Amino acid sequence: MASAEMLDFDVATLCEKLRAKQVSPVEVTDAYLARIAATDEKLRAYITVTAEQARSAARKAEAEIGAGKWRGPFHGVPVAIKDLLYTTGIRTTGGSKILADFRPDYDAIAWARLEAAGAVLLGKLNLHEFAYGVTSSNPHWGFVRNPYSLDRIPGGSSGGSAAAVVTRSALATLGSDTGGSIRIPAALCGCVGLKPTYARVSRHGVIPLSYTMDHVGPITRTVRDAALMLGVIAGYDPNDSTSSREPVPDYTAGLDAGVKRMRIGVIRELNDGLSEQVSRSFNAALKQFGALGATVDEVSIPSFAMATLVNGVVIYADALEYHERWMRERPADYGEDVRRLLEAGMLVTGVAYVRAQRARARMLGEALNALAKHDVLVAPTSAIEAPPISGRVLFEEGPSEADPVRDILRFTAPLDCTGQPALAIPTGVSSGGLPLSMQIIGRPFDESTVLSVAAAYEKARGPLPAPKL
Amino acid sequence: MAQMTGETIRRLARENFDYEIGAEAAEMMARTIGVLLAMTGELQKLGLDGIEPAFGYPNLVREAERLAGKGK
Repeated sequence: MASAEMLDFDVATLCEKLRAKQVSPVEVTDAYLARIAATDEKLRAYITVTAEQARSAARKAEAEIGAGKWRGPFHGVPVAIKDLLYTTGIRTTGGSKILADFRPDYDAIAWARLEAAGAVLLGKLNLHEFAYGVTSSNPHWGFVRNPYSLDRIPGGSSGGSAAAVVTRSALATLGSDTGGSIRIPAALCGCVGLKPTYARVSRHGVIPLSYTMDHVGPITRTVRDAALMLGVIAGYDPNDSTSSREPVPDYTAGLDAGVKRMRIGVIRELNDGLSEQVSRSFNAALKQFGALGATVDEVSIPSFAMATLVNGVVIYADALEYHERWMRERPADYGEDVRRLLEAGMLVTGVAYVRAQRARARMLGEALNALAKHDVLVAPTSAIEAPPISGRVLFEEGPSEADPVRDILRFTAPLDCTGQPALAIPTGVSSGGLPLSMQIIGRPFDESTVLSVAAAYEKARGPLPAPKL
Repeated sequence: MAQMTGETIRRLARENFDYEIGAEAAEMMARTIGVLLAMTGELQKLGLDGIEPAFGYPNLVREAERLAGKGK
């Protein structure tokens, strides 16, 4: 089978081919490694490529599948993970200079579960330094590029995770999301990003940004792939004290259920200040839901207007608490933008922190009220298309009307504050050929409904144009 | 809340964290982060009376149990 054809399979399709022995894990892994070699000098999606380990894992998968020992949908599937997740004996940098030589002695639970399911690790993916930013313009490991336009950002912080999925240099990836770091790159690169409910996926072995808002989740080409991956990584973990004992359902079970008679609420506070292209695409998606038999109306969650502030205050304090020692000893080893953010954390008072945490309960309360009469809520994932790479340092221009970071974060940060599941799905491309996206948001631990609605929309929307790279 | 100045920011960082922020960076932060943090007072307008921060005793107990299970 030709390499290009193999690279086009989604997880569900590749799984069938592998199980039927029409494709071998070794040849598909080699195809992905060749694709990385061909694209990553430009893309900078990877920090570390684990070619030898990948081939070894692929040979093992091939032998097991040949012997009839089937581990499930990720057996022999080539994946890559954000370099924020610990991997035993494999460099885990957090995208930083500070951890450039760090080799953990245990695995992040999310990766451990994928590995146990037979996944093949292609490598560790580039990101915004320590996951603290949305551009993935990493001063230590290279600026990650947007596959649809190499002079634009891919979003972040999981920029490499989304860029690799879209470029076909990984089939599926893991990212993390504290202010939008799964959904933003998924939106700007044109793929699916699922931030699960807080505590649904263990944070153990993930370099923290914020203890109370870090989420781990999948970035994939299709909704079904996100459902499959979540099914592997979700579930209770005694190593994470916040981990939930909520049972893990079969997330693929309702993917064909459709949205007929469902009620979909459009969040008023997240439906303004949109670029013309985003607005047009989002409204077309809402019409599509109507055509599929859903009722679409508006809901109001007033406290979401304060979400960027609440999210920012909590992260400032949490992040500095983790980084304080390095900030004292090695401040020059941080990139300038991350160092400035950590310095800002020095100004956060205890009063501000506790008040922000209290505000989160108000926000979730209002969101649950809105969901009492709706199955899901929707909003754009970003007000704008992927902006050009500027290298601009945070705060250097002061508060201004045009602030790309704010125009992106204010749509995603509310759901990190509330911990609700939120899935970013492409709604098309702009006239300039850049991906556009919306979020589908559910009740805590109701990823199944979110995935079901997303799958119905994805089927109606049809395929997106491929990126140039 | 009094307006944050670059010098105030430098003093806070120095006294609380033994950390030196450059004068230029401190002035930039005063214009942006200072304003942002001053706005946290506005959060009261969300009606926070009776709302507790969601840190939660169950999480405290679970974390303690996890640590106890490790032996030390």
